[in-house]
Order: sequence, then C-alpha cells, then structure tokens
Amino acid sequence: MAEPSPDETLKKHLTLRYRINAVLFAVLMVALTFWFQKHLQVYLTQIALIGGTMTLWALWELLQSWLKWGWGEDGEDTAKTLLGSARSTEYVVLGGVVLAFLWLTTSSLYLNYESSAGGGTEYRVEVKSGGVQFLPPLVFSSSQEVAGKPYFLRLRSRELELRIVEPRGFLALNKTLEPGARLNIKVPGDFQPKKFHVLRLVPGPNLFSNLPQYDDYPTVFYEVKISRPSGADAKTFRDLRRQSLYVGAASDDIRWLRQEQLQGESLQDLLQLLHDEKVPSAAITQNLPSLETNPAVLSTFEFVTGDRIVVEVIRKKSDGRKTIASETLDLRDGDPSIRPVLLEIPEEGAQ
Amino acid sequence: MNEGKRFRIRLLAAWLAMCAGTAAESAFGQATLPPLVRTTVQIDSHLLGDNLDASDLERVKQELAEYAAKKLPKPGFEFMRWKSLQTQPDLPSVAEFRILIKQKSSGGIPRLLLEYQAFVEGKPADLSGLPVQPIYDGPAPSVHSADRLIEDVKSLRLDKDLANDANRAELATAFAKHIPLSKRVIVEQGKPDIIVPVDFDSLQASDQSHLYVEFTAQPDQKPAESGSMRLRPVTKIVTGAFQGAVNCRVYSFDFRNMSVAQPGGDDPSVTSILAILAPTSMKSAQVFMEEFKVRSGSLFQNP
Repeated sequence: MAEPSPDETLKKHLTLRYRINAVLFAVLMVALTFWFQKHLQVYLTQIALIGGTMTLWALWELLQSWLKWGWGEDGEDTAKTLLGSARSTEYVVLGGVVLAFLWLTTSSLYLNYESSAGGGTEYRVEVKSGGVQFLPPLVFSSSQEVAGKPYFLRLRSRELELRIVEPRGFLALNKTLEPGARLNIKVPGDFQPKKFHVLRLVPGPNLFSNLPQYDDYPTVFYEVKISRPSGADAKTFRDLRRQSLYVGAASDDIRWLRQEQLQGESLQDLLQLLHDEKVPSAAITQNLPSLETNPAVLSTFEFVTGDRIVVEVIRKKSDGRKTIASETLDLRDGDPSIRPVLLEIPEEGAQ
Repeated sequence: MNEGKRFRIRLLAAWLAMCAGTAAESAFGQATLPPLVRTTVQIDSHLLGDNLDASDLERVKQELAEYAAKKLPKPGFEFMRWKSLQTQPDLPSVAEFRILIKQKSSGGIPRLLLEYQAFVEGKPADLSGLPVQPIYDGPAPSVHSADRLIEDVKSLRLDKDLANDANRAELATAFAKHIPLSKRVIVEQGKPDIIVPVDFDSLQASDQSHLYVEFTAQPDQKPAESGSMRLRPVTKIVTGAFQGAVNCRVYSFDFRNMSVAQPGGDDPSVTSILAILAPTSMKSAQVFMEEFKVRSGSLFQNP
C-alpha cells in the first residue's frame, strides 16, 4: 500500500483540525448563545420575545449561517482556511476560556410583571442587599413589564431582599444571587401575601373618661407600651387621647390596611367589639364618634401568628409614671388583619 | 323691811343691773359685721384627681368658690357676708356652703356630679332639697382642662342652680335662716328699742324684714326658760356705743305665759319685755333672719 503523499497528509491534518475546531467553535457559539440568552438578551432587548422552540430554531439558524459562511466551494475553502489553522485552535480555546470565565462569573437579576396576578395595576419594587439599595426603585406596569440587569465578574453570591413597597401587603422575598446564576422574579406572583396581625386598641369607658380630649393641653399623659413578654422590642405611644390606637406593623402598612378596609367595616368591627365586651349602650353612644375619628398609629415590630403581645397603659404625671393596666394578648391564626381589642383600666383606685 | 322698801330696792337693783349691763355692752365694742359664710369647693373624684395637677385642682376650687360667693348673695341672702375660704382666711365664719364635685359610675360611664352641702357652726344643714345632679349628661368632655371644668361647672350648674327660685327658697329654709346673725340682743335703759349689734348698713335689711330671736332668760328667781321674739330692724344707731348697729322694734314676743303681738307705745308689756331682755336676765340669745327684704334707697329710709 503506497504511503500518502505529504500533501495528502497535510490535507488530512487540516481537515481533522478544521473539524475539531469547527466542533469547538460550534460548541463555543452555542454556549455563548446560551450565556447571552441567559444574562444579556432581556437586558438588551428589555422584552422576552424569544423562548422555547423559537430560541432553538434561532440558534440553529445562527450556527448554520456561521458555518455556511461563504457556503459552496469558496466558502468551504475559506472556513477550512480559518478553522484549519493552528492559530484558529488557539483562538477557539482562548474564546472558550473567556466564555467559561464569563459563564461562571456572570449573574443576572430580572423581574417580570404578571398583570393577571395580585390585582394591582402598578407595582413598585425595591431591591436591597445588606440594607443598601441594590437596584434603583423599579416600577412595573403593563407598559414596563421587565426590569433587571446582568452583573459581570462577580465571584461572590449576594443576599437580596426584594420588597413590593406599593401596593402593600406582600412579604419581602429573600433570594441569593449566585455567580453564574440568573434570578427571574415574577411580580407579584413570587411574593407571598402578607398576613397582618394589627391590633386596634379601643379605650374602654373608664379609660376613655380619663383620657384627654383630642384638643386638650394636658399635664397628665397616658402612654401605651407595646412589647413582647420578655420586654423586648418595646415601643411606646406617648400621648393617647380619646381615640383608637393601631399597633402591630409599620405605620405605613397600618394606614394601608385601614384604607383597604371595606366601607363601614371599621365601624362594624368596633360596634361588635363593644357589644361583645358588654360596654353599656350609653357609653357606646357617647364614645363612638371619638373612637372612629382621629385614629392613632404606632409603628411597631410586625406581629405574627403565635406572638404574645404585652400592652401596658401608663399614667405619666409630674411626679412620675405608673402602670395602671397591663394585658397580654395572644395572636391567633384566625385573627382578622385588624383585630379590635378593648383596653380598660380599673374603675376606681386606678391612680 | 316693808314691801314698799323691798320693791324700791328691787327696782334699784334692776336699774343698776341694766346700767351695768349697758356699760358692759359698751365694753364689748361696736356693731359687728353680719355673719360670714365661707364658700368652699371639694373635689372627690379620681377622674379629676388623677388628671389635673394639684395646682390646677386648687385653682378649680378657688375660682368656683369665689364664683359661688359672688352668685349666692343676690337675691335674698345679702344680709350675710359670703367669701371663699381663700379670701381673708383669718376672718372667723359661722357657716360653710360647700360645693362638692364627686364621681359616680352611671350606665358604665364615670360621671361627675355636683352636690351642695351646708354646715352651720360645724353641723350639717339639711340641703336634701337640692338634689345631686350630674355636671354633664355623659362623660366629662375633658378632665384635663381646669379652665374648661371651671367654665362648665359655672355655666352648667352654678348659674342654673344658684339662680333657681326653688333652690334659693330651699337654701333659705334649710340653711340661711339658721345662721345666727348675732348671739346678743341689747336693751338700752329707758328705750323701747332693742339693739341687735350687727352693722346696719351691711345687713341691708329693710323694716319689712323679720328677725327671729331665740333666747333663754331668767328675769327672776324662777328657772331660766326659753322664749322667742320677732323683731323688725328699724333704724341705724348713729351715736353711742353701738353706733352703726340695728335698732329694732319688737314684732312679737313669747316667754313663759307672756305672748305679745306688736307691743309699743304705752303698752305695759314693754317694760316687762325690757326687763326680761335685760343683760342680767338674758342667758343666751340667737338672732336669725326669718324674712329678709332688702333695703333700697336711703340707708335711713325708716327713721
């Protein structure tokens, strides 16, 4: 069997190198495409047009166009010339290394608006990491459905806290943005609705009679202290008047909850409480207007099911302060979002 | 000693005694001012005690007491002096008109009530005709504002209660008529008039007024007995030891079996009355204003 000529051997080597390089190049392109698709496409287009089958088809067309570059005799020769050289192998390998590095150190965070979930028409989302703003405040609506960006050369993972600040009523979402990973958050679908345990503290007839009017300039003050049984997380409302006091969440959340109440629901709940607590009708008639107007809100730690909350009423006079009533409340799973509670002091000898 | 000599000695003794008595009265000094009634305010309420500073509480008491002292005299009680406890506190008083602000739970609502109490010489007078009334229909609008409380008590209770005719009649019957204007009546030798040593101008009583005098006298050897008389304040004494005091005429007189209506002129009973009322005979006396008609115009309207 005759030995192949040097030209034939060289041609075989070129063909082999060309094939290997072509495969490597194809793999590299596929990987690049996936990387691009994963981290950059949404950022660049801001819309997720391509997905699923469409993406695969597009990729195939893309690769084919590259491999068919100068398709035909000339094209094949050009491709062989480019991919068959030793230098091209270096470039492909170098490209592979760069892509591998990018693949491993690129992360991205994207939030997608889902108009059918949550009932809201516009959502404002804050993303923080370690208490510091991670992304500028984001607003989602039917005209702004996607937001986010890629992060390059990140070697460490980041703990993120995503919070729908408007509308309220959603729990914060904690996620880890890891190198090489993409976080895709659905707004509001990925956010769990928040279960509030706000307490509406309603002064009973005797406490009510002791409290200053809304427009008084008293020298004796009534404070309401909210804490856990251990005394932790204590918060004090300094000047209770003849009014209801809402506690159990951030003040903005409480105000939002009150706005979310149905028309007349607040009054109905209050009347039910006064009736259940056997408050005399004369007192109800007299006190009701004050209890429904000028509500006070105290921003506290967020009450959750199972919490035990200590409520203390303190009289503060020029000669000192004295706790005149103390009550421990258990928060149950079945509680409404705003639960009215009667706050009363002993009728006599409470000084 | 014969009867005529004995009678002359007795008359001489009576005259001497009368002179001595008159001299003694002179030594007492001049007419005194009408009785002083203190108006006071007490607060028995946790609501107010807990929610007003001590200084504010004191101010409430003082202002309301002074307000009552101004409101009470007219009409009908001008014959007494009314002052709050804080005004000239050293002056002695014979009676106290007390406004009590207290607290009671009613219909589940702590309510502020106002009660009037009266004391004459330390003893309570029956003012049950003035019922305890709530200051407010419901809970107090504010138990943190002394100013508001003062204004509310004035307008919602004192202005109404103290101007009410039925209430004033009750006050007169149960209280004012039992306050002694004086504990002395003085007869002057040779005069039919009876002196009540109270300042005429301050008393402001016309001659249509009636003074009621309860007295105990022992004009002779028999045991002392109680009697009464009614006097009409007639004139102001302008000279003498009792200058400025009230000169009265007897309107009616009852002592032992002696009952005289409007004695005067040459009525022989006058001499007996004067003898009974002589300083040596009188053991005690209390003069009350039974019916008061305020004097108007000249101080000397009834010469």
